[in-house]
Amino acid sequence: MTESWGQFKSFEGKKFKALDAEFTNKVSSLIGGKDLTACFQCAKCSAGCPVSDKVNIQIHEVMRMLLFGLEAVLETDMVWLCSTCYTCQERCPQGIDITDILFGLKNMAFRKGIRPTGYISARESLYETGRLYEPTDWERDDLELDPVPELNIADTKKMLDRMKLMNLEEEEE
Amino acid sequence: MAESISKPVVIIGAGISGMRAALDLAEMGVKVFLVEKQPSIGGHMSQLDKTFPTLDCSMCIQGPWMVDCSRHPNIEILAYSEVTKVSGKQGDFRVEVLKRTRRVDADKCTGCGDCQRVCPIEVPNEYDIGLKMRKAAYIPFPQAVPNIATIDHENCIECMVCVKTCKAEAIVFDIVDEHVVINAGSIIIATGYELLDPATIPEYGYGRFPNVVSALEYERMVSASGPTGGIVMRPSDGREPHRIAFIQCVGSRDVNHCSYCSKICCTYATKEAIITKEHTPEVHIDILYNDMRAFGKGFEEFLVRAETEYDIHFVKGIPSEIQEDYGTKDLIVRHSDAKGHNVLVDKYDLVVLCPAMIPSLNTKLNEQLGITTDESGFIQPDLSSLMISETGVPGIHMCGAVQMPKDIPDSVAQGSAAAALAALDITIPQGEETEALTEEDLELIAAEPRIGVVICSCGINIAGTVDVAEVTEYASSLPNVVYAENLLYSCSSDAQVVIKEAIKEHKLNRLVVASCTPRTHEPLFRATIEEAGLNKYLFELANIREHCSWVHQADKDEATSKAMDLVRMSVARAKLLEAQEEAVTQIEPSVLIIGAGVSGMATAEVISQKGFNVYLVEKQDKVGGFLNELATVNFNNRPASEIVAYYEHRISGKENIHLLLNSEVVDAKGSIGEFEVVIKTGAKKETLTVGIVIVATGAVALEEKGLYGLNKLPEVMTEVEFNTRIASGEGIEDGETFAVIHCAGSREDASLEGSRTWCSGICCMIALEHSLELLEKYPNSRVFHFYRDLRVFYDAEDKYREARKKGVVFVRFDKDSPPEVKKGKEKALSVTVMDQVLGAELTIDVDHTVLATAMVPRPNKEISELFKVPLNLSGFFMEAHPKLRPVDFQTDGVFVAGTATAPKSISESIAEGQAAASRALIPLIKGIRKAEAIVSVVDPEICVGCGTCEINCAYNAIEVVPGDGSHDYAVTNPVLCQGCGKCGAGCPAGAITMKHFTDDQILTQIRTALENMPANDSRILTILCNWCSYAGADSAGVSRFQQPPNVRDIRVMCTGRVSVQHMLEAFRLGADMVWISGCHIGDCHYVDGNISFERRFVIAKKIIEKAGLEPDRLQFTHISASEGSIWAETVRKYAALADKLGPSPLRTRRR
Repeated sequence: MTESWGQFKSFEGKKFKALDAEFTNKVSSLIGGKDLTACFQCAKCSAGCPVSDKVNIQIHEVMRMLLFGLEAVLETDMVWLCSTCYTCQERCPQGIDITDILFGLKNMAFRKGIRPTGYISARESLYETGRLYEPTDWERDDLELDPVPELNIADTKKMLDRMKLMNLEEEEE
Repeated sequence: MAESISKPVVIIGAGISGMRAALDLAEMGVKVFLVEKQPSIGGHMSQLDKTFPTLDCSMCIQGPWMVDCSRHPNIEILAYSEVTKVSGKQGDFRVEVLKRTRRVDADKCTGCGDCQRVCPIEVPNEYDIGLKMRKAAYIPFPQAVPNIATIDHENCIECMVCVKTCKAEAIVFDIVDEHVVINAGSIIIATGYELLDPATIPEYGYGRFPNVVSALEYERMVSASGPTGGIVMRPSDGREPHRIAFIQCVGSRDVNHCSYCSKICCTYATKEAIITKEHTPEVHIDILYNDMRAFGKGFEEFLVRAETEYDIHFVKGIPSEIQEDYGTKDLIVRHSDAKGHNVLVDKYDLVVLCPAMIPSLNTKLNEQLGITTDESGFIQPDLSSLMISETGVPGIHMCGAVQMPKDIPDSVAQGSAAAALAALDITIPQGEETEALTEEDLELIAAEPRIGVVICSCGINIAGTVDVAEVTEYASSLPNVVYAENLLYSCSSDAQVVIKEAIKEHKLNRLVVASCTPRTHEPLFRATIEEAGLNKYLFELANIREHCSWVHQADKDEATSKAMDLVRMSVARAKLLEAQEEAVTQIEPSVLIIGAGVSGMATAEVISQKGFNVYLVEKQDKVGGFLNELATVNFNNRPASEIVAYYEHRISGKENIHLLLNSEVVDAKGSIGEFEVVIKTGAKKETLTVGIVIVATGAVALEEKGLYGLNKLPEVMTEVEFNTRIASGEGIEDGETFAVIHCAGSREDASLEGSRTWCSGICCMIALEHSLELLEKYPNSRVFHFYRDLRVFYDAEDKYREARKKGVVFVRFDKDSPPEVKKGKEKALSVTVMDQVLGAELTIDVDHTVLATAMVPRPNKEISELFKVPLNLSGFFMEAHPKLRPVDFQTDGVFVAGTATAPKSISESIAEGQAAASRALIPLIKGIRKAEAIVSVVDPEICVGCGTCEINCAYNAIEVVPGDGSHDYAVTNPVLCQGCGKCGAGCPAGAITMKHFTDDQILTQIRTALENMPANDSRILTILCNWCSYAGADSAGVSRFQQPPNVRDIRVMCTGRVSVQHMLEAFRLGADMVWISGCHIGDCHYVDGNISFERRFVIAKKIIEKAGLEPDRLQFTHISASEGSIWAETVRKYAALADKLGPSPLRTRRR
């Protein structure tokens, strides 16, 4: 289990009250969330999840939290650790677009300031340089490699502008 | 509806449903063409090892039906045939059948199997789903009907070796396909189902991994007649698996494949798991599921038993995929477990997939017939009448899984229902039959007994434990035995031929078969010897299976010597058997139906249409039963009153239906053909004579004060009340919050007193219906369902999905932590529950709490006592056999339908009503019924006219008449006499002979039972009553409850038959214990035979005590037919007691 990601780690001893239908509806209106409540908890998604042994809360439990309208779901590590392999979405007997919903949750979490450390700087790097990190020049020289070719930042910036990558901002509380 | 000419009925499909329809119609006197596309009839049930929940051997209970179909003069089987074209209309159809050629002359083929042996071509056997091979010339399985060979065109290479080998010269390659045209009055479609090919769910590896098998393949693997002789072996290496996983919902409940629920897979997986555990108790079995579903009678208790008794693990968590370990070919399955938060990785040696059920249909035919199928291919029933046996096309009916996935009891009930509806399309002439003792019979009585003995192997059911060869040899050494043979399956149709020939060849005049229980198979063998020219009462059956091989599996030697003892006893009795004549009862052409709910009304309609009088008695002041308490029903929110009105209309204005409202049955006498009943209406009493009685008393919803606060806290209500309030709008506003609690009062723990252990079958569905109805009217309602397993079947699954999509939240809770309902602060109520998935406590404030309460039986005790029909532990009526006789009672002439036996839906209740009508029509149309010849006969010379018999007879069947010139003497009325034997046992002069259960016959069994007793083993001489304790011992055998082999049992009809002399004789001959067992007090099939015996028991106890024997050596117990486990426990208890008491001091007297 990872320690550094999600703040919400277990249900031990937790009690919930009067489930919030509003949150569920909000998630249902995201891309892929249309059939969210059709989940009947077969847990087939978790069974096929490649990161299931790395997360505190399994994906079927995440879906459950969505059904219950528990906003604490945004603090689970699955939101960021999902590898987007799409196995769950492919095999879900209720045809729920689980991975797509998780994408939506990533955006929601980000707006609340819940994001992995380094995400903001990584995003900026991607936008400004088209790369997530800088290649080490002298190592490349040592290995007698050609320099890294220049990227057409203008095109990538146009694409990322269309996707509104930099618009995703933390919300004022 | 009826036409003037009597036309035959064509039944398409000869599975269990089609066969039931065929047999019912044939018994009514209708000619039936039973068309089946496989070379043998029997359908999928013939491929099963055992059936749930009784764990009966499938072929054992189905076999007699298959043989009956083949022998019945009114049934013509067209196997290996297909219906190609149908035209015409109700009452006048033209049905064209293609009889594919087997290239075998059916009249000449004996089913010997020689062609099979010599054929050089091997192909996968369809019956064994390709796990075993068959030849191109083949008989698909040993009990195939018709039992003739088929030469498979496609694979035959025409080498002609079979032709040369066939001694009967039955193989003729020139025989061509035949086209048969039948002018039928009615058609029944019973084409059944197939299983979805699991390869369509590629992630489970079926077809790629050898050790992933489908459920039907597994069925063959555990079957004694299967490819591995009943030993489960992994396909890859033949090793026995130690860890097995069953995966539910493969392709079912899945929008990517079949979105519906296939209804039976949870229960059959549990059955297969239990069967496996019986073979090898150390196997670890996991059943991976989403919801465990168990709808039918006894199924819930079956599932509980699997967990508690057999240690089968039910794990909630469907796997995503299966992977194979390259070297070992083991299977790696990742799945969740609702009880934990990890995803588990488990390795299994074998994985069984439970695939969806899909219809087996001829779509071209459906188009021709004008039948509509739903989007899954199952036939859409007529929705307005809710008759699931009607296709909507007049004259074309259906039964079984072709309508939707269903289990065997429902398929059987609907087979009868379809027969009833088909009977309405045609005219049936009134039957006539008589029989009397022939010259030959009388000669036989005088002749020296020549006994034939057949020892049945029953596959490995008997032969696996008992050394049948040794028993056969032993049998041939017994006095008067001139023929002894060991047969593999004595009940198969070819075995009947062997037996008949043996009778002729060896001039046998008595037959003993050592096999299973006479309670199921006596009629079969009796019919066989009748066909061979012998009177049917010259047959005796030794039970070496239920009472021997199945219960002494670990003591093979002792089982064998017990089998020899039982055969010796039966041979001794057979020697003294006599030919008997049966009394004929006229059937009064009228029927009493108790209860005018939809079931009763459906029955009334069918029977009245066939011209018989119907008395429909109803306690309330209107018809409709429980439906009158509901506002709307079903997912289309149909007003319940509409359905009641529909059926009320169908029974009103009919001259021969007499509806008696505000009436109850207060007294009943008599038996089939002539029941005398007293109906009380207000202050008036009316006596009626009817031929048949049908019980349709229904059931009600539980209303238990205090259940989750019902009638204590405000706004806690039952689903019934909720339904009314939604309709009226009373006290409900839009935007309110509702809690719905499932299993309220159902599925309770068996250890609690008075617990309701059953699942009420329909409440989950009803809860959904009402929630959806609520949301239609009040769309802003917030609804929470709290459930244990969500049990809906077939397309109700789509409604479950709809509810979830509409925002209904379903919370699953553990059996041991049910929700708590308390008075709320912000709203009327507060519900707290532990959510099983998250393991967190959930509290919601609700405005209303609705309880999906149990369906409980009405107070049935009175009817049960009036008509001597049993109730089981839950208070519902107990039908004759839960699998194959769902609407019969053990008592002839009394039938049952609807929720009186178990919870079920409206359409299922209507189908059962029609099924009961079909069963009733059989004796009604026949007009007569022949009684068993087991009656008392008084010798007037010996009788002293004391009148003891007359005072004690519960049937008023024997009375003292004045002697003309000499003393008074008693005379029996053979029609009223039920054969309990009370009079015979109690007659002080010994003047009464009980036919077929004479004193000599009983004493000779006692004597032979106590011969050759080993010195160090105690011997318990047991006498059992046929109806309860013998059936209980059978039940213990079927359930394989292991017992020590000290018991030697003798069957009588009633413990009342047992006299003091019988008990003393047993002790005199050295029995260590004498144990008599009968029905519970109040349940005696003959009213009070067991009470009569009790008096004699007390006398015998005093005598043996005076003689110096420990009084504990004589025991009397009450064990009923359903108490198999108590039987086994008692055998163990008495075996231990006999050991403790030590050998009887009278033992040394036998030299």
